[in-house]
This record gives sequence, C-alpha cells and structure tokens, in this order.
Amino acid sequence: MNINWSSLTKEQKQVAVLIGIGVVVLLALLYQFALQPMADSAEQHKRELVDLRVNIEKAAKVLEQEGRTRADTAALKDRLETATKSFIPAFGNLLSWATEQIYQTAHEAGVDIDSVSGGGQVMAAGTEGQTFLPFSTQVTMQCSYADLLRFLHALETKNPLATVTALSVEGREQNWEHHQVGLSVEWPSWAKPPAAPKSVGDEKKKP
Amino acid sequence: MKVHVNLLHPDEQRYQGLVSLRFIFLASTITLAVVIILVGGFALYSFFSKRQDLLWARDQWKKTEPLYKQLLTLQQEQKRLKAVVNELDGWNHARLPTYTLLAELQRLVAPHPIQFSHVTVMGERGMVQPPAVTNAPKAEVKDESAGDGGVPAKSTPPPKPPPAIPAWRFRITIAGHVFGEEGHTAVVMFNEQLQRDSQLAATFDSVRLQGLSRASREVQRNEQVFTIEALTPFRKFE
Repeated sequence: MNINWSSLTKEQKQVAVLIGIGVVVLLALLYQFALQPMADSAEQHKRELVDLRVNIEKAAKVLEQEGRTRADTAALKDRLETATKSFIPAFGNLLSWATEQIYQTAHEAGVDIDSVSGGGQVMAAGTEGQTFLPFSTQVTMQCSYADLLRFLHALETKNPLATVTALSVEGREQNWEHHQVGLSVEWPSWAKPPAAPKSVGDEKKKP
Repeated sequence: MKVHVNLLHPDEQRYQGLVSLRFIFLASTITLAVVIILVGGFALYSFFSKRQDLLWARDQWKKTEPLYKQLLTLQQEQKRLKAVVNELDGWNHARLPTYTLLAELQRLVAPHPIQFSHVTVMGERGMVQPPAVTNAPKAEVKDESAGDGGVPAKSTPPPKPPPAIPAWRFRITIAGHVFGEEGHTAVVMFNEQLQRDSQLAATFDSVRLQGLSRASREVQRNEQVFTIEALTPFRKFE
C-alpha cells in the first residue's frame, strides 16, 4: 500500500484528484440532503413531542377529575333545574307566576289577599351583568298577626329566594284583631331567556 | 571519514519509525470510520426512537384530545352554572327572615302594657365594597440605602379593589302604645331585650329607642307612645 505520489502517472494523479473531489461533493450532498433535513426534522419532532407531552399531561390531570367534574356539573344542573321549576318565574310570565305563588301560599296559610300588583323588573344597583333581575310584587291583605306569621312562614319556606323587601303592619281602631298589611316581595327573574341546559352525556354521544 | 554513495531509488527507501505509515493510515481510517459509524448510528437510533415516541404521543393525543376537549367544555359549563347558582345563593343569604323576626318580636313583647300600632320593615338595596386585600405589596417603596436623595423604587400598580357586592339593609320601625305608671320601664326593657336577644343579635346592627312621649294631656289616661328603630347590617348577595 505504499503509494508514491511522484511515481504516479499524470492520468493516475488526475483520477486520484477527481476521486477526492467526488468524495467531498458526495459528503456535501449527503449533509445537505440527508443529514441537515434529518436534523431539522429531529428538532421539529423534539418540539412537537414536548408540546404533546405537556398537553397529554394537562389532559391527564383534567381527565383524573372527570368523575368529579361530571358529578358536580350534574348536581349544579339539578339545583338550577329545581330552582327554575319551583322558585323562579318563567321568562316573560312574571306577574301571573307571582300571583299564583302568593294566592297558593295565602290559601295554605288561611289568609285572604286583597290585592296583588306587579312592579315589574327592577334595574337595581349591582344588577348589571347579572343573570337575574329582581321582580317586585306588592301584596295587600287584612289579617291577624298570627295569620301574617303563617303566611310569611309558608312563603319563606316554600321559596328560599322570595325576599320580603318591605312590610307594613298597621293596627286598626275598629278591629284590633285584623291589621292592614302591605308587603313587597321580590323574586329573582331571568334577565334574558335562560340558555337551554346541555345534558351531561351529550358530548359523549358525539363521534 | 566514511563516504558512501546512496544508490537507493526513492521508492526503495523505507520508513524508519516504530510503526509503519501504512499502519498509521489504516488505524486512522478505521478509527474515523468506527467513530462516524458509532455517532451516526446513535444519531439514527435517537432520531428513529424520538420519531417512535412522537408517533406514540400523537396516537395518545388523538385518543385523549376529544375527551379532554369535551371535559374542558364541561368545565366551562360547570363554571357558568356555578356562577348562576351562586347568584341564587346570594339571593337566599341577602334576604331578611321576616317570619323569624316577627315571631321573635311577638315572643319578646309583653302583651300588657305594650301594644304595637305600626310595624314596618323597609329594605334598601346598596353596594358594599369588600375590604381590600391587606397583604398586597405597597404601591411605592423608597430605597432606604440611597439616603436622603433616595430614589423611589420601581412602583408597582396599586392592587385592583375587589368589585362591590350588592346588599340589602333593612330598617325596622316599631311604633306602639304603652299603658300604666311603669310604661316607660316596659319600653326600655323591651328595647334592651331586642338588643340582647340571642335570636335577634345577629339580625340587628343597632337598636335605638327613638322616642317616648305622652299620648294625650288627659291625666287619667296614662298612655305613652314610643318608637323603636332597628337597623340590620348589610346582607350581602354572596
């Protein structure tokens, strides 16, 4: 394997130089079209893998809470449905709902109602951007103190959201037993039509 | 002095070192080749291994993503529902239990000699500013080390005050008559009972006797009229 450059012929030297140039070009092409794209792709893969791992980890944490999230959401939905059915007037049908509530309560308490009138929805302080606006109703009746207590007990027990915002009990000279009673009751009412609640299992059914 | 003529041709000359040039050339080439193969092999292994990991991760994400997104939507829905339910809870907390109040008034008042003539409850809606967070950093701190000419340290914006909360405040007015010589004592005692009563202590912020005066100038008719006013604390919608 003793190669003596000086002993090579001119053609042999040219071939050797050409082979050298060919090897360098080949190496450059290999770097440009194989190694460099591979390195770029590896870098891209690395970044994507990091992102995916972060996302998978985040998702795993959320998925761990799946049972609790579903149960909590279902419980909240149940509470809201109960409140919507029993304690909150339907949107746009406020006074008839409130009148029904008051007369039913009065009937249960054995009290006669003189009048029920609605003051409409109130844009009171702090109600901006709220889901519910106060709906005010004025009630007048003549009853004894005991009757009034029964009525208020029934009203506040039946509907935990009904708020007596004003009350006036006035004794009468002619009739000591029966008093002139006026009260204002406020109920939460939807500020805008309520969004139809999504069923908890709805998303699961989607493909 | 020895003199001899070098009759060797250049190609007949031999390398005089310990290891032949051929060996050095071969050893270097093989070492370089082995290093390149090892490094290249490791790089390729690493590349394909990473790609395998990536494919696994993509597959995993493809399976997880729909459920994850569904749960995020559900969490949003939960947040919305919680806000609505909290608002309703606020309504419940803010209201004054009028039945309890009136029943307690009936229990406390002595039927004789006090008679109520007028009882009113008036609610006022307002906004209450919750107390600011006390452990918030000071807005501006002077650099003590800089001496008198201390330059104010980098000022941090003052913490945003928490939003005001709507609240009810109720004013309860009891007007009535009291009869007899000791009428005024009965009214004062009733006023004190309202302040001390365990059921009403949390309901009232203040209870004040506003007035006690003779109802008429007739001496025989020993009747006085009184007014007591009580104020509840702010009952917040929270």
